[in-house]
Amino acid sequence: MNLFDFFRNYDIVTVMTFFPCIGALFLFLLPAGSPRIRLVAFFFSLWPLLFALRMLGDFDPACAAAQFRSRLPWIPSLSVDYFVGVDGLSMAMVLLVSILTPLTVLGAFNWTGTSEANRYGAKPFYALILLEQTGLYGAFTALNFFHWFIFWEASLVPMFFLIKLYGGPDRTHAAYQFFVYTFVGSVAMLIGMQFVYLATNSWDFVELARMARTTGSGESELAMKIRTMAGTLGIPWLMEHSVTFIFALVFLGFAVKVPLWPFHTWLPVTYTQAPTAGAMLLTGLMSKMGVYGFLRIVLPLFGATMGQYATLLMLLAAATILFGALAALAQRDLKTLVAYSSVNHLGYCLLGVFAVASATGNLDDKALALNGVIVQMFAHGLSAAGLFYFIGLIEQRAQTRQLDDLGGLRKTVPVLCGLMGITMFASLGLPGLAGFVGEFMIFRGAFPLAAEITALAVVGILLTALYLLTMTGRVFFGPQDDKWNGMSDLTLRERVVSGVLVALLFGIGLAPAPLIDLSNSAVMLLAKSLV
Amino acid sequence: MPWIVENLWLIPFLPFLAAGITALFTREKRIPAAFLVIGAMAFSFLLSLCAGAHVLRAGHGGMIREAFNFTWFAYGDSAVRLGFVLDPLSAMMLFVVSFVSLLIFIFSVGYMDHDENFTRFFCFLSLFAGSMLALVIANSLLLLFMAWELVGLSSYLLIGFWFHKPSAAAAMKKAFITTRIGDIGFFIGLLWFYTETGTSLFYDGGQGSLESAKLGLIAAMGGITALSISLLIFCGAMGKSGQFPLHVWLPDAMEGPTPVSALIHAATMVAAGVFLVGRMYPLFEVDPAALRTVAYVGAFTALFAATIAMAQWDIKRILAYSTVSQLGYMMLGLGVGGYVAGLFHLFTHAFFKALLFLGSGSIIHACHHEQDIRKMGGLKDRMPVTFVTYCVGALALAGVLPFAGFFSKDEILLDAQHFAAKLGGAASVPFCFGLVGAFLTAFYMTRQVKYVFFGKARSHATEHARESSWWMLGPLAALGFMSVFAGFLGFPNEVLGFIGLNKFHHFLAPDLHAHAPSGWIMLGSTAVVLIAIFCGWKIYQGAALEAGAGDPMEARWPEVFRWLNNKYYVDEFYAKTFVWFTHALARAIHFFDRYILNLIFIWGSAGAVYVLSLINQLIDETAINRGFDGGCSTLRRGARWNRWVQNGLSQHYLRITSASIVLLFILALLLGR
Repeated sequence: MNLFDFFRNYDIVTVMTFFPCIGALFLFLLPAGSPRIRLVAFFFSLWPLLFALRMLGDFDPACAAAQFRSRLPWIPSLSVDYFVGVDGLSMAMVLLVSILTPLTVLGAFNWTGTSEANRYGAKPFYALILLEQTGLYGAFTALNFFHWFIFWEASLVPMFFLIKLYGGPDRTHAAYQFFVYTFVGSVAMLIGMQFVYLATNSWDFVELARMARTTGSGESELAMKIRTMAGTLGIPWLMEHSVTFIFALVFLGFAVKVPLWPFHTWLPVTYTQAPTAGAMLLTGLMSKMGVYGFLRIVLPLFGATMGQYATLLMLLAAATILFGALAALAQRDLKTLVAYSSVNHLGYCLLGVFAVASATGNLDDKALALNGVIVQMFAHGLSAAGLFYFIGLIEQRAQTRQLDDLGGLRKTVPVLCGLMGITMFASLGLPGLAGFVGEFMIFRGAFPLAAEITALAVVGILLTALYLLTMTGRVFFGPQDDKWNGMSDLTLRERVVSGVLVALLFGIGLAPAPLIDLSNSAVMLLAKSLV
Repeated sequence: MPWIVENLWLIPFLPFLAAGITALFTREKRIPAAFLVIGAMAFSFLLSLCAGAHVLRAGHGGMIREAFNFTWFAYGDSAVRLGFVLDPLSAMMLFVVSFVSLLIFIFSVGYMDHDENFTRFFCFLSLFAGSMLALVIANSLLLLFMAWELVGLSSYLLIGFWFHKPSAAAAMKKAFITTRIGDIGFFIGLLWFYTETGTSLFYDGGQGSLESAKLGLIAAMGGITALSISLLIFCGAMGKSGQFPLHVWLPDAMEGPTPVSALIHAATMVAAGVFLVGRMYPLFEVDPAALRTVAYVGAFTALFAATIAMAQWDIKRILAYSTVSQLGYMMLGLGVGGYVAGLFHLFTHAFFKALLFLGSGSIIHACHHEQDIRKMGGLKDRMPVTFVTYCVGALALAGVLPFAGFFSKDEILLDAQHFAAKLGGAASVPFCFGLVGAFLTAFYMTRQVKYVFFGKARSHATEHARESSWWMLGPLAALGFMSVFAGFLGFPNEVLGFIGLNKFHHFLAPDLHAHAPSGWIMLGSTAVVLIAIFCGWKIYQGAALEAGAGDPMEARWPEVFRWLNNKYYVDEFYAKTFVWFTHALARAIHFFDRYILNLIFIWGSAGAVYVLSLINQLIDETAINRGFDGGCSTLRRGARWNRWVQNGLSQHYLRITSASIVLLFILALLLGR
């Protein structure tokens, strides 16, 4: 029996999800300080890619429903099922996790042996990354709120410790701030979803989405049930606005996570203090959990309610884009700069999400914007993680990441600068690289829905160019500096990590069709519920 | 579908491929890199000739337009489609771009021979050529925009080729950002146009966005839709083609190596804006106000830049402002309704301006990178070939019969005069500006030629200048040939019937009626140009060309000269307003984030958690289990507010979760579900 057949007969999603977690346990069997730790960690983070590719091979793009489903009763009295599956919305994210985590681990090889890594040893470091990977897989494949939420929260914990134990000088403060802030959002969401459960007696995303779809005229089954439940409290005013309240609570959880302006202030500190691997995972994958949550939960369940506030929300998204870019322009620390750039870029995703919620517009435009959100998530995951990786490499070589101390690096380390330059241009939205495709799709999809706000947001691409080129100018160009003499260019391993990232950026930029085909059916199903 | 149309993509693909391969080369592989890039370009040139031949043959007696379209990606029940189009406009541009590129690549072998990053230079050049060729054959505004951004990237990379110079690093960023300001408008216009027409293709068997069905749709919408879309797209053209007020980047772009200035910042890329207006001409015609705006912007730029060029000292900057001015002419021509005239000027200008830049490159190379014309002089004996070709270029630029510039400029003036006659009043502005501009152009070119080639050598480097190698002189000769003879292609119809009709016009727009040539305009413009040359010749001779002597114009009108020399202080104005404002705004946002939002939300959330945990504690201790967290409370005792944030919180979150779950269980039990 070949290995694939073995796993095919098992539940591939579950096996993939817990594979890295088992790896984390396995790591503790190795003796401390063993040079094999990082190789074992790499193996366990890379292997799930095979599962993901297997799934990709079997994935039916024409099917809108979740595939590779598995459902087991878990807590029947609370109608909690263990319910996982992969559909068009999650397939791209599963691939992104499967690609980016091993690259992060491989990239982290550099830091094993440095003072940060020695603080608590390499073993917990890699174990935390692997646990994080499990948390991410879980959050991207769960179809039942209850266990989705467990993974959503569980993914916070390894990240908290990655920052707390391995971060920069201000790590304690950053870790707590990160935890507190996102946790408050999560609690709000949990409370909101508890009400939904009480109203509907279901945690099931598929079932809830079905209820939320308006049939004919009037409000949806979900809204009706929520109002009925709120009605039992006997306060008419509360009953009137119950759906909005619950929407607001759930919305807050995701708005903090993505983040949406003005809930973003935890992000720069956290990203700056996180170790490079942590920052790569945070920006590449965890920020996508928030956007994914919008697609998986907020839009299907509260699409109509969100539509009522679409203009306000789109303005907030535009503020996220513009203020994020402007704040990035004012930074002197490379890491903080790229952290703000993350705020800026996720604003495009949010713009797409909010635009499609608006009541007007035709199906194709909404489908285009939503597909664009997924492409943008994928593209940003690669380019932002790449930028943090390169900054890590620069910091390791130059012992600084302050813009004012750097300069003239291109003469000394041309390959590093060349590859970082490509990643930077992908982030800037240069056609031919991944960033442009997502941005174009979002803007083109959102324009018929809200022309003025989209036009305002387009100014963001100018500001993005401004801060990124300022950064490149400061770091790469200018006269050669003698203090960089002896700085080495990329090693083979570093070339592999950045080469894979750059190749993917080119691939998606030139031929985005395979990626869009994956999500299109699921997106159409979602878009139909919003028209 | 003819073979050449189906394989039109090969024309940009070959240079792209060469760029991709040379990108992987090491520095030492100079000869293979040059060989590969020039070889790919030569193939593209041959294919461009095939494309041109196909248009000539198939389009005999009528207009030919064939497109090859394909789906880029599908979404919803629709798709984003891209394509390539072969029509007279793209065939003409293919010829210009591939011909000039090929010559300049060859020139670069000589010019860049001492540069350590020779390989990288050819890689970037090839990237540029690929993007520019893709731009001109794009049958989709989206694809055109993509190529548009890529030529912007190659321009950025090549301006900053000597990035170790802080001035080059500043210029590259300025170029990218300034053009991107225009591109914001272009992109919004693209989104709007795409939304209204529902297709990204220009020509698609009657369903394309530039075909009458869709344009009729836009025209029928009335209001300002057509005008707004046209002007937004024109913003992009203004940025790329250096039209006022976005012209500031182009003179700074001269920081790049001279072949780059010749190819990108004179002959091809900067003309992309003109090409864009030409390509979108059917849209611009929907609302006449759009073309009128183009005409006025072009006329102003033509005159404005020409005045600045009169008072510059840097040989390349003079040419740069001249380029801005000539691009203004092309816009003027298109704007007054001279579709063919504007594009004909693009065609001839590409040759003589590339010639002038390469000539200046030859001079700069010989004078050890001296660019100040005050330190040159007397080069006509030491560099005879360069001198002759440079003079050909200068005469073509000045518009002297029978050089190429004469025909195209005359056609523009002719159309401007018809425009003035038709509309009256302010509509005569383009014509007047054009005529004054023609005077100034001839004047500053005479000034430059006198300073560079006549008098005595005014610096050590110039004294020892030697004629350049044939790698460089060959392309000069080829371009010189085109500068003399390219104009005849646009020889007016009725003047000398036996020479034949206006071939260029017939090729580009066989269905369009050409205005009858006017002898008065020919005579008038020739007189203006000759007077200007005469004035220039008289002013800049004798004592004016001695070492250390100032400009005679400066002596006479010092204030005016200072303003012109400082380019009307536009850069300074931008620095004090837009740039300052952006950075002030960035600092303000940063401050707001760091000190106000942070305070509200971080401490707000910490406070919320504190209150929640107090409630939680109350419930825990009174209602559920008094002893449950006795241990925790001892720990907490005496803890201060700060401690809550710094140390004690995570337990509380976990407690909230557990409490919530407990609450949930209780609710579930109570409700009996």
